[in-house]
Amino acid sequence: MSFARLVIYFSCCCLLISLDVSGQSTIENSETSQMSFDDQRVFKDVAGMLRCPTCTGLSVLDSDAKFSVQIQNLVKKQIDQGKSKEDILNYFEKRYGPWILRQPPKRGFHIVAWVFPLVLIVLGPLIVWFMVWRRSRKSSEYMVRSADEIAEEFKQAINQALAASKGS
Amino acid sequence: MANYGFFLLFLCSASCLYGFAASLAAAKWRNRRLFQSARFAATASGVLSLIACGFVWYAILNHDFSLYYAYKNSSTDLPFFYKITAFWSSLEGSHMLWTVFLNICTVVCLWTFSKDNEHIMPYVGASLLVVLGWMYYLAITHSDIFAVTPVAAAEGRGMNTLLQNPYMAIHPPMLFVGYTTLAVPFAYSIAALCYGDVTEGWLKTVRRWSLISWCFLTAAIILGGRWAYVELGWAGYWAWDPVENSSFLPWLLVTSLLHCLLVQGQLGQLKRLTFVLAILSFFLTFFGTFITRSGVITSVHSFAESPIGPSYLLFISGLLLASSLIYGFRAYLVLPTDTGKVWGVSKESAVVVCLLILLSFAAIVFVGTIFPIVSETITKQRISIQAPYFNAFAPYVGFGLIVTIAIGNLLRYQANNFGESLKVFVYATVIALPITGLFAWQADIFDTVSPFNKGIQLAGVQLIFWCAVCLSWDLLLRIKMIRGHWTLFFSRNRAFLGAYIAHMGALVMILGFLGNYRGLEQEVSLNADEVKSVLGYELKFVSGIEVSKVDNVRLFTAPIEVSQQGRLIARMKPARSLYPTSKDLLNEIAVDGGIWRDLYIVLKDFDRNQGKQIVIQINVNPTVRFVWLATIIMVIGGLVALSDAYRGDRSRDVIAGKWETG
Repeated sequence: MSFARLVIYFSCCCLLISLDVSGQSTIENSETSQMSFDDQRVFKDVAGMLRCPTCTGLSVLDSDAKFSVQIQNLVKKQIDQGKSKEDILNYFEKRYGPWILRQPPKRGFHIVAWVFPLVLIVLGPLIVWFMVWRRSRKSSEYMVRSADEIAEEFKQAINQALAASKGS
Repeated sequence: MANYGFFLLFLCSASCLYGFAASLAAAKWRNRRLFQSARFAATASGVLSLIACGFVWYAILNHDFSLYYAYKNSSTDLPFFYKITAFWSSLEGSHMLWTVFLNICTVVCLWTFSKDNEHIMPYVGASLLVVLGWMYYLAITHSDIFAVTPVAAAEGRGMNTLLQNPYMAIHPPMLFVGYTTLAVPFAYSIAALCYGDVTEGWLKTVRRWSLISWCFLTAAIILGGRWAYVELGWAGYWAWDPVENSSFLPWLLVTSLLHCLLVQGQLGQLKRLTFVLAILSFFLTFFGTFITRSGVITSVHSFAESPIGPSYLLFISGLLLASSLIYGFRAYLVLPTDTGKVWGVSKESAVVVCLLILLSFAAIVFVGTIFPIVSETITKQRISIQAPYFNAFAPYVGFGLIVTIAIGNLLRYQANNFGESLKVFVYATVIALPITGLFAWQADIFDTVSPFNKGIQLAGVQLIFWCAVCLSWDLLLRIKMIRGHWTLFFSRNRAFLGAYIAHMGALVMILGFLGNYRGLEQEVSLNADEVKSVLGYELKFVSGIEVSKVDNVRLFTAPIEVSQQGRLIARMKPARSLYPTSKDLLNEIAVDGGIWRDLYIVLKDFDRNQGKQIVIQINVNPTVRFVWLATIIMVIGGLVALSDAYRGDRSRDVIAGKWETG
């Protein structure tokens, strides 16, 4: 670890610790005790983004499976080495493939999974608007009317006829 | 015994096929007797399948392990209650349970129809019986519960230990009731399409069955979540895994369906959308099962190896194809009441917006569930889509829904303006502020570490209370409109009242979800009689590990005294349990606390020799109980709405078709 990095790292830690003095600073567990608060946050972020290889739906952070614990230790080791969150995630992706990440990578074909919801947000209202518009066009084109309107027309016609008969 | 059971199921399958054919013929020639015989065929198959179920239970209760299913899922030392539930603790049994429920629904549906639906009943019968026939076919081919072992074992392998939990015992039946009651709206939709229109009775029946299904699905999904919470030990209740998604998708669809029916009932609009939603929700129940059952979700390769997968695929694609064809060829016949309708600023437009949000969410969940399969097929590279993906979108959906609920409820049908509601929105914002402050203070929101999370929570809580005030204001307006006649209001407006309660329940649930932004977790090791202060609690591990035996389980309990500021607040007993059929120790989680927060302790490890040292994981989970409470409120809302004497709609009156013969 270079000296500059160490300085930045140290100042970040100080800043974060000074910002919030919460109950989390009194950790006595053997595994996590050597980690600073900042490191723990990185650890939780990273472990939360990696899938537990042997369970369904759980992250490495939430699971106690042997494989998960191994990965947890690997993550801790790399944090101690001063690697950033992205570096660690990249390492795991290279080692196990994108499968280990809990969300699809935003490149190649996989980006479809991310673009699709955005397309929905844009296209959904457009489709609804188009359908309403088309319906209104069609009904005026073919003179389709509701029962009430037809009744109203009949009434008018009768009134007209009555008026005409009275006039003659 | 097993052979008789198998034969009964075979008879069921045959009689359903006959019923299908008879219904079709009854529809073609409008023959009452043929339809009558189809009804009897469905009833007979229902009775036979119940007897077959009795056989399975008999084998399990009498330890007849020559039945492979009993051998696989039960053992002699299983408590009586779990012997009963062992019936649905594995694939074949749950398929059987589903089929039997579907049969019961079919029978009830075919015998209790209103007079003005009589003309479409043969179509209803045909659509239900063809599905049922296929389910029975599967039950005797790929999912045979009556398979036997050549030599009966003395002891069974026992039930899956994770399933030996009261929540998991009742979760599957409730979910299956929710799934199977969706068959009726589906069948009625197909029938209405075949016939060409809907009647008042159609709407009444479909609304009733959809509401029943909605209540059961709501309760079942959250019961499943509660099971995960108390049994799995990762301190959460929803993981967005494919199994959960596949139960959530029908829920989203049936919720949309109910709102769509509302517009149809009031204005006679959106009839065709109702059909689409009813068909899709039923389709998704099978799709979910296909996805979780066929192994396609773990990998495309395991799909090819599973025996049930391909035939399930054939069925769901057949179902979709047939439904689309019927819709495509017949939908043009179904016309809205008022074709010159203007969709202005009124309640029906708000319902359409709500439908858009719910369906978009359903589409996102659907894509998130199946995308790994699609992606693997195309790129040959496996990826996972889990909670972070869904959580990236869910908050926006929640936000949109809350705003739509508030605005939509205060708008009026065909009003084409905001009317009084603009004033209410402003007042509600002010009224909600102190409530938000009080809530945030009670629920420790101000203690959240990250400012971003704190901001999100405060905004969310304020939005929720704003919406709640808007809804309550609307309720007051309604009562005022009826000149304060409480009794009249409660006797005539129960659908409205039910909706009010259910919406409030949904808000309480989202309030509970917000607690996920401020959960705390810590792992700590304790020696006997040592006191440690963790997350604001003082924990004392009393004396040592206690070993006990309850029913068939050996328990290793770590008694822990929890105090706060020197005052004892709880004695908690996290434990690990050893089931006779399993080598691994299971978590028995201790949960204690109140409405504002749960203290959740998992015994992770203990000193095996003397039992004087333990490692525990402590979670402080805020407002989890809001979620459980909200479920109860929502279901009550559904039941109140169900009790409404439906007042009919303005859809075109149809003169019921006469029977030609019989």
